[in-house]
Order: sequence, then structure tokens, then C-alpha cells
Amino acid sequence: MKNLIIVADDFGLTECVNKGIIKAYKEGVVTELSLQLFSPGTENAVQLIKKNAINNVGIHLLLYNWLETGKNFHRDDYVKLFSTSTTQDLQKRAKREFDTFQKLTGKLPTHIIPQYNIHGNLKVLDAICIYAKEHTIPMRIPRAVLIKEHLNENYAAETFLRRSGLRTTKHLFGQVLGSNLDEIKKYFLSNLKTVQDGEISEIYLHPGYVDKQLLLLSSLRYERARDLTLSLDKNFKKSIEALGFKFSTYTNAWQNN
Amino acid sequence: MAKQLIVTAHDFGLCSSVNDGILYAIKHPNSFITEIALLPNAPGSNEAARLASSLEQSISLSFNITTFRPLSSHVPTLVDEEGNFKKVDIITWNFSVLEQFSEEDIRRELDAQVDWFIEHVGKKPSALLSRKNEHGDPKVLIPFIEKAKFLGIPVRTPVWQWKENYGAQSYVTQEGVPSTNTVVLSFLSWKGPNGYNLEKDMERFIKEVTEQEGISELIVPVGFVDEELFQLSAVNWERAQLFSLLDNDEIYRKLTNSFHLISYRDIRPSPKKLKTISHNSIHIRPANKNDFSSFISIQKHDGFPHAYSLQKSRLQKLFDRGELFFIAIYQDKPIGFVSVDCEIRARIHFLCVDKQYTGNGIGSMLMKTILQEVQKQGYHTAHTFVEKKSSKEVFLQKHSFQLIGVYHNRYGPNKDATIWEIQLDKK
Repeated sequence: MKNLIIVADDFGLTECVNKGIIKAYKEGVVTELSLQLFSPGTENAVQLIKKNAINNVGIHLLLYNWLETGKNFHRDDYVKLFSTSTTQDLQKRAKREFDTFQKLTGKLPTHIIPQYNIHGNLKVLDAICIYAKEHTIPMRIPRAVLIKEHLNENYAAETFLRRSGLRTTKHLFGQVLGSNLDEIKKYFLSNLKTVQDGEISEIYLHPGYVDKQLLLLSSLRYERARDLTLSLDKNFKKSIEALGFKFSTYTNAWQNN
Repeated sequence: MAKQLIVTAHDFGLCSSVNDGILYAIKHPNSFITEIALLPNAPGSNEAARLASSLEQSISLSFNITTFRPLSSHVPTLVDEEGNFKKVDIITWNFSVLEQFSEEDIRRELDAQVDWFIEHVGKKPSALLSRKNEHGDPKVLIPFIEKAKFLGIPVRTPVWQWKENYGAQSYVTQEGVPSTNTVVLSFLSWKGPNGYNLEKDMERFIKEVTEQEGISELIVPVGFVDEELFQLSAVNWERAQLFSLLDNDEIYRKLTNSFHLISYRDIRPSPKKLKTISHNSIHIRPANKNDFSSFISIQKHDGFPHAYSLQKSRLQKLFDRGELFFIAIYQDKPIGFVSVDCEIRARIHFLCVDKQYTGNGIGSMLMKTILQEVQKQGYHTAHTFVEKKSSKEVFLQKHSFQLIGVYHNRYGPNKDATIWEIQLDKK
């Protein structure tokens, strides 16, 4: 059995993104949503979770409060934050988000997925692991995307996470940029082909609709609409199934195995 | 002069999200959109027309007869049982339903869409376009050209499947309706790792388009993306790509440096030249050796590029070989000449009119004179060859010449000539 979790990142960014994510979840291949707090669309996202009775919602950890900064953090902002913060500072930032998640949804997050894989940084990872261990919450594998666009392996962080006893997937696939949808499909399928039986994989997508608000807030624009198209693509879904995958969530992937 | 490029925002009127996206794009400081193509019969058309009436941009009509519903009340051949336009498929390019369309119904719907435009936008369209270039089909093309002439506006070049469509394209030229030469449909897929390298792709695009002759048009689908758009069109997420281009200053700089950006408004036909010369005042007579310097001077001033210039020695040789020349005189001034080489068979060799006097039918008078002469000499046909895709072909068609072949690389590498023939007995 090969389990595949398909996560929609950035749930809560804007209403327009939320709407696209809900469609990708209800009608497409997305199995799990990752909710970001203190963001322009957070309140709307929480309403949508309740209205649609969605259980597979984890936390998309930002470590900043959009409502305070008035903008989103870019990679440089994070690098600066990490060099000037102690583990305790970061832990405090994380806790504020975990607590708010529980308060708003009434539940624990089903996963922890930090923005830009910032938990590839050991200080951040250390700060998050405390909470994750306390509640036994799985975490996205900490690849090194903060430095580069590509999902480079990150031995130290991955080993640190494995040793902490927390659950994470064996593989992580994503293709954020690009306008050639056929090539992107090929990229995913050729990577999925390399997965062995018994291994758990994650694909992350950024589905969403595009409006003026999004152009002002995010550098990912048409890419979101493209990922929505991909999520809804019946042939893509069939091709994944043909490779022997079962669509799973962070909650049931290990039970299925 | 820099290569002229029209950049058209496609599908204004499709739905609110597309309307909003186009407005956002044209107001962007890096906007390079020069033309907006308005759909008359889509869910967002009335909203778009209201917006368009206060825009300064050049707004063209995107004639649409293959999606949504007609604006005219009785066009039975165009619609299905529910009253929607019969569907075409742009993926397999199955446009076979056009076979069922009657030209009369197409004409009626075209009238209705043009009337809608004028009523709602408050002015005539800057040009006639069709949404999927349906006017590449002669059935649509003929009413289209009539309408464009009536309104005095240009049309988009009638390509088919976005590819060259010689018959229709030369028809537009022949009818004297201003048009573009080539049309490029969006940037489609950006290359690079899984398609993302804006700078490189822009360079490739600029190079490809700069190599095309004449005026080119780039069609860009633009729009915000919402659920309605997903339902209305198979082209959905792609419409948001333009925003990434707009935010890139370097790309804007490259585009504006490489092209002279124009709109359809800039290629409207100029008012017709008045025929100031009466044909009675032009005298055509057989030429002689004393006319050599006149030929040389007329050839220099006929407004066409020439591979070589006529010289007296060359003219002398032609004369000695028996080539026949006629010269046109206006108020004692030689203004045009024509010749036929009858050595093997009758070949129209030269036909030049001083540019100052073109547009008065002098070329046609010379052509008629020489054809009469050829017939008198006992020939049943005459032939000639000219540069492929030049306005000279249109002139020959007008004089009932038939295209009979291509003379490859006649004027140099990739510079073909087309060969034309006329049957003189049938006249």
C-alpha cells in the first residue's frame, strides 16, 4: 500500500483562496487543509470548516501575525527573524498560533506544516516539536525550501524530527512555479513512480481563485488557479491511482499502512 | 521604424471577474495592452460595455457566433433546440457546425452585434474581430468584410486555427480592408523548468514576432479567476498569468523597446484618394528609343523596391530582342509604362506607374492596352510573375489573372515569385 496525502496550503489567506481550496477539497484530489492564523481570510476559513464539517485541518504555521505586520513574511524576513530570536521567542510565537487554532476550531490540528518549510531551521523545529510531541501531531518533512526553490534534502532537520519520534512522511513533492501544466503533471507522476510500497508521501498544492486582493497580498497568483485546475483534473487523479496510491490524510495514513 | 504590435485583451465582457481583471491590467503602470476586444453576448457584456464607454482605449468588437446566445431573434441555422449557438470544439478544432450556418443568418447576427456595440458603447468599434477567428471561414468572412467596409474599420487577419489562411487573408487585402499580418495567441506556456522563465520567454517571443512581416497582433486572455470563469471557459487559470508579467519592470522595458505598440484605431483606412485625373487626358502610345530615360526615371519613382535598376544598355537589348513597350503620357509628362516579352510566349515584363499618379487607374489602362496588343499578335494567353504576397498579386487578380504556380527563390533565398496566367479568348 502506498499512501498519498494531498495538502492545500494557505487556507485562510484570502476569501478567494479559501473558496478555491474548498472546491479542490470537495470535488478534487485534496485530502487535507492547512489553516493559517491571523490572516485576512482566517475568519472566513473557520466558517467554511464548520459549514462543511471538514475534519482534516492542520495548522499552517506562520510565526507572525499578519494583522500586526500588515504584510506577509518573505524568506528574507524569516531569515532575519531567526537570527534575532531565541528558541523561547519562537516558541511563544508558535504557541500563540496553536492556542488560537484550538480556540477557533475547537479541535487540535491534524498536522503541523510551517510556512516555507521554516522548520528546516533547527531552532524553529526545536520550538515546534515541544507542542507536537505533547499532542502527538505529525509534521511535514522539513526539506530545505527556505534557501532554495527546490525540495532539497535537509539531513540535520530530518534526522532531528525522526529522533523526536514524531510522524512525518517519507516523501514530499511540490511544484510551486510554472505555467506548463502538462510538464507539471509529468513531474509529479515521474516522482510518484519512484515511491516504494509501504511508503507515505505528501504532495502540497496551492489551489485558489485569483482576485485583486490576492495580487496585492501574494506572489503566487495564477499558480493558485493552475493548482485548482490540477486538483480537479480527473485524468491526473486516475494516473495517480494507476500507480497504486491510496488518497489518505495525516490522520489515517499510518493506520492504513 | 520599429515593428508594429497590437496587444489585445481578449474576452472583455465574458464575466465580472474577467472584466475586473482587464480593468486592473489596463490601469497598471506597466500595462502594454493597446486594444480591448469586447464580447457582445456574454454574461458580463452589458457591464463591460458600460465600463468601455468611459475608457479611452481602442475597443473592438469580438463577433461571437459559437458560444452563448444570439442577439438577433430569428437565426434558426445558428442555434440548437435551446436557442444557444451550436457548439464548436477548440481543442480538436471541430468547426463543422459552420457548414449548417446560412450566410443570411450570419449577416443578421453580425448586424445585431454591431448595433448592440454602437448602442451600448456609444461609438463604432475600432475593428471587427471574431472570438475564435471564425471569419477565417469564407461564409463568415464575406459578410464580415462588407461590414468592415461599411463602417470604415479594419479587421483582424482571418487566420484559421491561428495558422496562415492564404485564401481569406489575400481576400482581405484584395478588398482593400486594412488588417494585421499575423496573430499570436498569448504566450501560452512559458518554458524553463516546468515553464517559468519570464525573461527568456519574452526574448524568444520578441525575436519570433520581430521576424514576422507587417503588423502583428498579440492576443492575451486576461482576468481574475473565480468559479463562474471555471464554468464558462476552458481557458481559466491561464488568464491570471498576465499579472506576473505586468509586475516585472524588466519585461515591460523589453517589450516597449522592441515594439511600436499600436491599436486597431491606428490602422483605420484613410479616406479614399480622389480620382483627379480623367482617363481622357491620358494618352498611351507605343514607345521608342527616345523614351529610355523616361522608363528609368519612372521605375525609380514607382514606390516599389527593385532588385536591379533599369539601364539604357539593358533596355536597348530588350528592344533589339523585340520586346514591346507602351508609355502613358499625362500633360506631356511620361508617368507610366508597360512591356511584353513575346520571344517564346507572351510574358508581361514591366509595369510601372510614377507613385505621384497611382490610384488613378493608370496601371489598369496600361494592362488593358498591353493585353489587347498581345491578343493582336495572335496569343491566346499571357503570363507574368510577381513577388509572392505582394500587392501586385491583388492587381493581377483584379485583372482576371489566375495563379498557376510558384517560382521558388526567384528573388533570392525564401523570396518566391507567384506565376499568373490569363486566358485572352474568354475576355
